[in-house]
Amino acid sequence: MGSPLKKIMLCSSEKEIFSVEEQVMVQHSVIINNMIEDGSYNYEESKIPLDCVDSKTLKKVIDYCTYHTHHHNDNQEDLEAWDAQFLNVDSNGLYDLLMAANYLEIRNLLDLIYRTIKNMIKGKKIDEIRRILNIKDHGFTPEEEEQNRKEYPHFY
Amino acid sequence: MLPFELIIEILTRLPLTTLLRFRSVCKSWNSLITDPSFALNHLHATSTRRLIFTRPADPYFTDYSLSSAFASTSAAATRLFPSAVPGSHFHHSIVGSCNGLLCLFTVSRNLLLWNPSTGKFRNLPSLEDQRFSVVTSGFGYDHVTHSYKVVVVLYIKNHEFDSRVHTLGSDSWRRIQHFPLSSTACCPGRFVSGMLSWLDKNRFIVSLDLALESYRRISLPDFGESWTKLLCVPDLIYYPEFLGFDFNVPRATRAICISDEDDEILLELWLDMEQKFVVYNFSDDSFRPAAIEKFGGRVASEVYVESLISPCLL
Repeated sequence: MGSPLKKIMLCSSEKEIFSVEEQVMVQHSVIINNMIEDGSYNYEESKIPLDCVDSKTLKKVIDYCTYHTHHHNDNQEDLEAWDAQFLNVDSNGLYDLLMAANYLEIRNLLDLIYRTIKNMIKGKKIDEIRRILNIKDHGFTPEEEEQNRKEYPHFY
Repeated sequence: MLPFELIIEILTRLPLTTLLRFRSVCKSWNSLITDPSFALNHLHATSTRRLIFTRPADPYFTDYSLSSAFASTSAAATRLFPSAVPGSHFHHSIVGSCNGLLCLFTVSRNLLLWNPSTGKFRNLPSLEDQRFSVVTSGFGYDHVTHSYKVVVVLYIKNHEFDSRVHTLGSDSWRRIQHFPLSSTACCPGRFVSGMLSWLDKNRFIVSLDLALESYRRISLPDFGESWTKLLCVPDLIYYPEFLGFDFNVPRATRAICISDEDDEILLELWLDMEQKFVVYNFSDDSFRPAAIEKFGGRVASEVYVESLISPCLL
């Protein structure tokens, strides 16, 4: 566990530096927790480079971790309402958040995003799924695809 | 495009009916959804329980989601028919349920495994000794060898009960230790924590450890002392306002299953030849009618989980 006053530096893909309470990131990100625990982070000089996370996304991720650190005793309903508002972003934003949460191993944020995507695609038709998830090559032969469409027209 | 490992995470969380539909999205999803290890992960991530009924001389099974079986308004039932099963126009009895697979026993003494969620089924090797009657049976999973096992108990002679075990994937039945129960008519064994267990009339439980394949006897708890640890359903005689008529009629009650929230129990009730399904709520000590259809005859029931596990790939 990090001390509450200590700060660590995170560096986005645009080389923008974010200074965050150590405790906030240690509690949420498995990767950062490991870095602090094994002593590979130097408080005087280090900044953690996050080359695949842009500033806009990193700011969101820090917001999420900060809110959940300071409000973990709130009731479940309030937290869920905050989460829903937090994830009210377009599909590119959601994709970026998912990749960042996956990279930093932020389990509860990952789970939240997985659930959101699950609910987004659950009732959708096959053609819509392919469009939402940008699946250009379905890999079926034209015959297989035609057979599927003939057999289950209501799926498409 | 999302990396495939993240797609897997999302698909693992989807309900089974959606996944069956999503096999047509693309070839890689199709291979994933039909993969046995994905089926196991999906089973552990989303366990939606269902309740299935079968009755004599009806080839169809009646299937409810567990939540709809406990709903107070009408429950939507699906009629399922294991169509490709040889002799499926006969009555099946349910041997047991494990990981979404039902083991069925037909009147023509065939045993088969059926996944009602996907419709896939598989016949098991027939019992060699056709002349001995089957006293009881059971179906479960051996966590040590990671295999499914079916147990059949045959009455040989002079109160001698032979136990035969079939391990899924093998092609034969093996004889194990004699079945140590004396009563001849008993229900199928229940599979709980790696053991198949049978309740004996003489107030003890016989358990078969599916890994060791040996039986042991456990005494039932003393109801007088430890009743607080047991679930007790009160006699309906204390609830005349619920019954709404003369309750001094012959009555019999059978417990069917407990709700997902662990606060209610579904009961089958026979009141003077009339079948009723009722729900008893433990937390507020009340009865209410259940929305399950009346079968008008004896039914057997089993709870299973929705699963992609294919009996053909075991």
